[in-house]
Amino acid sequence: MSKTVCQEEVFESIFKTHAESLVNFLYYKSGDYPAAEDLMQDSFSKLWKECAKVSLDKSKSFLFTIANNMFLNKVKHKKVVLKFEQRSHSQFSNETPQYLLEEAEFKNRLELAIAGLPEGQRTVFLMNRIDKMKYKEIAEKLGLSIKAIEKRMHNALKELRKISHNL
Amino acid sequence: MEDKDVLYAKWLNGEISDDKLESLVGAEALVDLKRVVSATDKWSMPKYDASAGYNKFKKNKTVKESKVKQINWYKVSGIAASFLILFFFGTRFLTDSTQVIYAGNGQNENKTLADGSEIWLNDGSTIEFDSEDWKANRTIELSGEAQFEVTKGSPFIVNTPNGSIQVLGTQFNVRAWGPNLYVECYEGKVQVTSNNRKTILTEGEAVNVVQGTMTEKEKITHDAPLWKNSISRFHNELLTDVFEELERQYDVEIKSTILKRSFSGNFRHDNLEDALQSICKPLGLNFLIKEDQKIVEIE
Repeated sequence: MSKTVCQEEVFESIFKTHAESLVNFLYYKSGDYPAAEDLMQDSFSKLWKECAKVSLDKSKSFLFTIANNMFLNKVKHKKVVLKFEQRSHSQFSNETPQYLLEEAEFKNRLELAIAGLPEGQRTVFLMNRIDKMKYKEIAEKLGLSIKAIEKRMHNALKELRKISHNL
Repeated sequence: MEDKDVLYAKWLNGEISDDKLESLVGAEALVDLKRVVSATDKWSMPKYDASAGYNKFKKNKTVKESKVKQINWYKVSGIAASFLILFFFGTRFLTDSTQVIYAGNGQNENKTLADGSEIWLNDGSTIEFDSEDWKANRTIELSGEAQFEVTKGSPFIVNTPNGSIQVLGTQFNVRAWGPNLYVECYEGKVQVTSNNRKTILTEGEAVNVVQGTMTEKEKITHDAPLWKNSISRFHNELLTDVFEELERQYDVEIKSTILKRSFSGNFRHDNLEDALQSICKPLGLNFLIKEDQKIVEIE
């Protein structure tokens, strides 16, 4: 019997493969992690409900489309605030306190600027920067062309460049 | 250069070298961009515990489904009950016939149903219905916008987050973006219910629900929704909603401080400048399209 989304072990592996990128995706859109997790769970409920109608290779884009629709219906219109963890500096860094302070300031300003990007650009930018996804992968998830992803990425970088420049 | 609008993206992806980028946009830009990239390189999101998440998912599922079965099985012993619930969980896909259709961005979807009724879905919209029981129970959940051509038969009902529409055999369009609901009737009769208010539309009539309040019926002269002719029409709707539609249709970002006013009128989907004219002129607003065509400022 060929694999279908309705088989529990198949479904479980889809969940475990995509849960994190889906919850991150929803966080980038909403800036609200608990809400992002709820919507992610709801998206999987929908997939389970529709499992007989959604083929295995469509399940990924189905999840992202449903998640996006739910986001539009429920969470949009809130002001977005985003914060990211920063990997710690190397133990032997000889960076001056002055430098570290400037860097922290830069991080704040960058986070603000990212939150202020149009939602489409912000999501694409962060999926690439944080989740380390290739443009092709993002395009598949969002059901867009690679060119569209590149445009969003270019425009995001163009906007964020200004922050760097004005510091 | 042909890739001008994706230049930075290509560079970030390693398809364009530092030297090449520098020669195109200057050393300063390269330094700025590198700073953004190296800062965000160090950022991360908390690791999501997918196993715990999956257990939570299964638990929610089982709770929901056991509720449905409760009346039948509450007397059965614990082991038997959980076995039955799992069995139910594992096989429900065989009987579940809910169908979801969604039109991705830039796509319109067309669906003919078992009874011959037809639905056209606008960009980014979703419908949901029970395909097996369709002839007896013609109920559709809609988010977004769609046109319906309904054949005679049992009551045809469209539920939206802001109200429901019951068809009495007809052609109509429902627009349910954000907090608003707008229904146009082209043929036959439809009944619109929202917040305990009911109205019946006949051919050539439309009704608007803005922020929960149903307005008086209006006359329309067209016999198909304007979005099918690449036009968006508004009836006394908030500018925020008008701007959202513009953003969807043109993939631009609107920056404006004037949001509380309302707008009645149309805009076309084929020329951004014309569209902006038709919104701004009547309201006495000015707009500026930024050179990259992606940002529009309105004041």
